[in-house]
Amino acid sequence: MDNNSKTKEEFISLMVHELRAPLSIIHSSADILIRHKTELSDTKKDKLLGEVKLASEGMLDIVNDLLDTSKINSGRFEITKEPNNIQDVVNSQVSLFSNFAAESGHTFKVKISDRVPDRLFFDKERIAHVLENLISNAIKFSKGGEIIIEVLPFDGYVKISVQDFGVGIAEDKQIQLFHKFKQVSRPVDSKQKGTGLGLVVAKGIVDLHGGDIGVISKQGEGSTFWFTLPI
Amino acid sequence: MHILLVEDDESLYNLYSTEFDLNGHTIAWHKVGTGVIERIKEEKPDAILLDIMLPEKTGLEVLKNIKANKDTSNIPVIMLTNFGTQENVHEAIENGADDFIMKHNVVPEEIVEKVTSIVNG
Repeated sequence: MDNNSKTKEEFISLMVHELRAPLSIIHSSADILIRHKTELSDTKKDKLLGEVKLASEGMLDIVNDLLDTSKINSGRFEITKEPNNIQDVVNSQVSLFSNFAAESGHTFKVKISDRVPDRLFFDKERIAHVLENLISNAIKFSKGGEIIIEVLPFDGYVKISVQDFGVGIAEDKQIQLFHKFKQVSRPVDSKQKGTGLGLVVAKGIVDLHGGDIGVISKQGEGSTFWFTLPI
Repeated sequence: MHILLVEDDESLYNLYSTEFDLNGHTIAWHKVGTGVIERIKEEKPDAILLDIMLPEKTGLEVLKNIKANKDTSNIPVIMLTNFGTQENVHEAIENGADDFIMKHNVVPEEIVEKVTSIVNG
């Protein structure tokens, strides 16, 4: 098997694993609900239905990322650039994550420069998705602490960065993060969850906007993921 | 039976505790690989369900600690694995695990059955 085929095999294996875990939660919850429907209290039923919802949302995210990755690779991914306010997008994502971040012991520090233009041309929904991905990764890969989100004008672009003080990423792994089939660098039994496709999709979205995306990271010290949008 | 579940996935805890509870058993939940021996001494479980991938310390390391301690070595330990790779399973069995369960291949009812049969010998 050549390297490319081997990487694809590993990728498929990872996807199957990532889909099987939530599918198994849904299957097990349904099994208990069906077999014990008369004995279960309403609270227990609600809890199991909550597990079904959470697991199915996780599966949907994976399937959507797979579809988006496929569209990006075949050039069928489309964006709609309109005048939008990046400050609003940042604040709204921070607000959406606030409860989740508090539960995991994280706090947000948002620094938006006054020199950032009020209007930039971008697809609001897609750029929100990029930020959502970077923020959720920052939470996932750090054990509490501060997450700094910064928006700055930078040489004809606006640079948006998300910094965490978590586990960080080894230098040789950083370049692989944004490429399809390259993000598999962990065994299937690894505790770290996630397909890694979110960053591939994020790169596709940023590329279509004419921006750039990257990471600065040091193992054990944390990571700063950033992307740019043209002014 | 009283079971100690060492597993960091809250969804699995919710499922297993519901199923064990409906069958008249109790579950204590420990989320990390550290402090397991102390928790076993507190809970005095009839069996331990131990995930192979845990934060802070791996399930295999925890298993070795359990089996090396005279106060805990006699308690049956059933390993929970994702894929049950050959190395994982062999190493766990060699280190004294009583059995293993590929957790995404079974429903909680089957886990209750397996644990019951091991505890009842």
